[in-house]
Amino acid sequence: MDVAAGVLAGTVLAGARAIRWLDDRDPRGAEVLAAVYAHTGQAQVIGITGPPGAGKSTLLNALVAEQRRRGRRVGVIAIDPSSPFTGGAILGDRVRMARHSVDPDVFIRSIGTRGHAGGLSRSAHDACLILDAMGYDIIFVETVGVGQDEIDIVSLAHTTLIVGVPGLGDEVQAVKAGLLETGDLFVINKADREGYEATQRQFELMLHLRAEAAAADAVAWVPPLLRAVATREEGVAEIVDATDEHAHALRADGEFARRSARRERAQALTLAMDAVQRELYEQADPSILAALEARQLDPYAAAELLLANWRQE
Amino acid sequence: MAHLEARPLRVLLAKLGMDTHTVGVTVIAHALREAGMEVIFTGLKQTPAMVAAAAIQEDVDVVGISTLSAGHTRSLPELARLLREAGAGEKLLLAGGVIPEEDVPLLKEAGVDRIFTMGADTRDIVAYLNEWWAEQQAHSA
Amino acid sequence: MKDHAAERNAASVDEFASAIEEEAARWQRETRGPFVAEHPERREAFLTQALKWPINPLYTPADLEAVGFDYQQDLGFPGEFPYTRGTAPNGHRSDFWTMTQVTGFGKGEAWAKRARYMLDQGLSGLILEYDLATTNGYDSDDPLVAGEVGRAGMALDSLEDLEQAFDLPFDKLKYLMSVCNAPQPVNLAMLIAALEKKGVDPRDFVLHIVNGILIEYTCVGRYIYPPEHGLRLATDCIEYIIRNHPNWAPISIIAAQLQPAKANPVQEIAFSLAIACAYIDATLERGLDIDTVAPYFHFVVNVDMDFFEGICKLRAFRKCWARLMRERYGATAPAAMKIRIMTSPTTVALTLQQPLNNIGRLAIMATACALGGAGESMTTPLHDEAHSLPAEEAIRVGAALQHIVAHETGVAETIDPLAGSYYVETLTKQIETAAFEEMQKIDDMGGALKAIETGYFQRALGREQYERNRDIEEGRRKWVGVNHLKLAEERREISIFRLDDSMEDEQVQKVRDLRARRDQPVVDAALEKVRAAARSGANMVPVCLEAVKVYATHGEICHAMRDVFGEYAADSQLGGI
Repeated sequence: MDVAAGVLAGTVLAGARAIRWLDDRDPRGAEVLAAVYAHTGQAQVIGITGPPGAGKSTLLNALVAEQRRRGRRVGVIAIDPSSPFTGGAILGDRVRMARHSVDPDVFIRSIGTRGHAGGLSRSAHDACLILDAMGYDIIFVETVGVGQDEIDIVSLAHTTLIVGVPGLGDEVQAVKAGLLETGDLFVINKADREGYEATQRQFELMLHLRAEAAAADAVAWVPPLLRAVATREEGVAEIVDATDEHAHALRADGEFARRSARRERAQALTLAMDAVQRELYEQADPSILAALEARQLDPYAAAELLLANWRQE
Repeated sequence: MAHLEARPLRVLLAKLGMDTHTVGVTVIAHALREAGMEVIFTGLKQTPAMVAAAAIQEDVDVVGISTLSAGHTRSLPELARLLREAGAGEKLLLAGGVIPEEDVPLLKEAGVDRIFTMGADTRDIVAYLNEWWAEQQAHSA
Repeated sequence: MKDHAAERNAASVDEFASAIEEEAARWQRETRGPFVAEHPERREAFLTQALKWPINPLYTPADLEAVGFDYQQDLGFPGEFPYTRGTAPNGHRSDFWTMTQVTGFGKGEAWAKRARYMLDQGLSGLILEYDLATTNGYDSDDPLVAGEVGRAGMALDSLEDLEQAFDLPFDKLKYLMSVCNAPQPVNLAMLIAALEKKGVDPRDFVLHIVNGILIEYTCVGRYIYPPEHGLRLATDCIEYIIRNHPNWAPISIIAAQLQPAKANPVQEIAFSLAIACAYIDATLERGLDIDTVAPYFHFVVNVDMDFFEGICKLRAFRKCWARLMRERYGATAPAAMKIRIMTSPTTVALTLQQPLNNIGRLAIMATACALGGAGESMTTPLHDEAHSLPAEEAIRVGAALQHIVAHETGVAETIDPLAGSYYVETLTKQIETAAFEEMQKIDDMGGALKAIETGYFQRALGREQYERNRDIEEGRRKWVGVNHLKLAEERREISIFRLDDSMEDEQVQKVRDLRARRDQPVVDAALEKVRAAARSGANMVPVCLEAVKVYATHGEICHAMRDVFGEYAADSQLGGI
């Protein structure tokens, strides 16, 4: 199977294999990416995050349906945590999206975090590129809802959608700091629940403060606050309208391409830094480390020596 | 960092039909995770078409079906056929649950690679998968 | 004067307990210690089977003191609050528990025939179970359910099916239990309509619906709509029955479904009671009061092989319900505080291997039920489930077992004979305390509905399932025939019930013919009324009744509700994520 050709032709078997190779750090993955990279950059990547219990998966299920109704081809990358001890994982996000599994224009892929120290799976980024090259118009990335991943999703996505829900206690706090400043769209799901008004007020206040702080910048986009009842597919059309508007706004002034570029740049630098880190570690002269241990060298001096050593290699 | 270099086995677990007993599939999912594998669960009330599509999108190595109803003589061969036709016939297809001895030849003939009846020790299942995986990797090397 | 006496008593109890404690320490030093040094214990840790709590070598009054046991507070007297010693004032001395058995019928068209046979044999009650198509809200001709029609129970597509099934002597049949859950309002409507057609006086007959949707979300899996709607539908049925058929039974909380999903006794009690509270709270909101509502709740509780866990669980269950009704709801009527329980040995303790061993297991578990308080009735499963249809002998043995326990052992000759046992009272109290702590935790997270939606119950059970399986695989728990005293040459054939395909084809044709014959506009109008009621929040039972009477099918009515409520696919279906 010519995987690269298959990816460009939109073949699911090939695309799935390419994503697997990249996820496994199989060198064939980088080869495929090299062959298809020129064909990426069209898809809108929409990140979805929020606290557990917000109903992200149900909302995503409904969003996929609405996107499909508008004729778009949709990719979904669902990320779940891997066990830090065994490396294994139970990836269960597909469960909520079962009705789309036989739709040939929907591709759902589950990824484990595989213990990546930085948080969001590098594989998620690579998988986005493959789905992009395959011709999917919209790619959703859904994260676990806790931890660093929620912040990292902002750098991965063009549009970050944050899902809140009434009744979680301090609703706004439940949404991690950092996201409040950078989310592009806020959705209160389960809007028919008790406590909706209070939650709505909290978010409105937070967005108002943010707008004030941003007044100095020339930022054109005002993040909307929307409501939804995902189980009844209520509010879903408005959300898709909003994500469409956001993509349009980004594309209008070149920001869409800039965000993609920033993402790729960050990815390239991360890959390079990972490689440097690995090499530095592998080439570390044991005598330098021994001297450090014996307190003959301080860490700063040791670092200089290790670096000089590495530069020479 | 060691487990990053090793290529984890990806396993799809699914329940075909209307039966909703999940204790067996839960226990196996946990055991496989403890053994370092990635387990994708499709959910309940799946059709063979849904499972095949998921198996291909997820590029799993193994498809495991749990069945406690009598529909397995129709649905498992159907699943095997769909996987083959889609070019995914080399994926390992396993079945477990309430499967009488007399159905085994028919299922194997139809493409089910191995059947683990109820009460099978999860350690045996893990060992079987690890062995199979080691063989696969040796062949592709 | 009285206060001083109480103080003196308390003081002397304290002194007594410390004296015992000192003696126990001495006994350990002088007698047991040296013995164990020569004869090491056969296990590293002695733990109860499900809770895995440590079991001490010996229990003494000091242990009762340590858990704060007080006879009046914790036990009282039979038939009086807190009912720990039993809800019946005279235990089983006036009447034995009703002895019942699982009879395994309900497979397709043979139901009515078998039902008539059982009634002829002197039974006056029957249990109606449905196939997976029906319990999941589909008609027999839906492609999703191919192969399932009529297998796990009766195929109920329309009123027509029930009219035919109810070709029964209703002068003999006085009680019918219907196990439906997710589509309960539709099922209830069909039953009411069918009974009406038969001219059965509802006051002269008891219809008992299980209506247990919340446990389905937790561990069984036969649900259709999102949990909040499932709860609304269940409450509609409870309210409808309380207001219109007050002699019927609108709900059974089957804790005995949690147990095979590996809930431990604390979870069984806490999850069941939290779930009961969800139904109760919803029903109270309809304008009914606790003293009216609480007596309508039935529980089914089983016991496993750990003899004392089972006995103590039953005693703790009674006390927890009584306290919950009084403390949380302010119930005053005794009927509201006396839990209604049906008990049973669990099937999951039985082995496929060496089935005759199961007769011993059933006898032990039935005895545990009797000692813990058998409740209103006890059901004995068959010792050999590998027979897909019950062999006559298995039925006879199961029935005999209950009679042996009742008549030959003497355990029912006095009320709550194990009361006062240092071990039993310590364990009962510990279970009660832990159950209330767990219930508080569930309360803090927003109640049972929240626990279901966030996957809390499912994750807890998933963890237990995995751990208990490991206990068996790694030999920490010995199971005769499975990992201990196995018979190498034993080959037990799993035989499953294979349905004749023609039966399914006939049913499919039947429902299609029905749809062709009907007055379609009338049916459509009825279904629209169903959707309207679903949206408006009105009680669904009356509109379902109208719809079933014009022969709207079971699947059509369920789909009408799907149109409004949506369908539910749980996040943490695979417990433990």
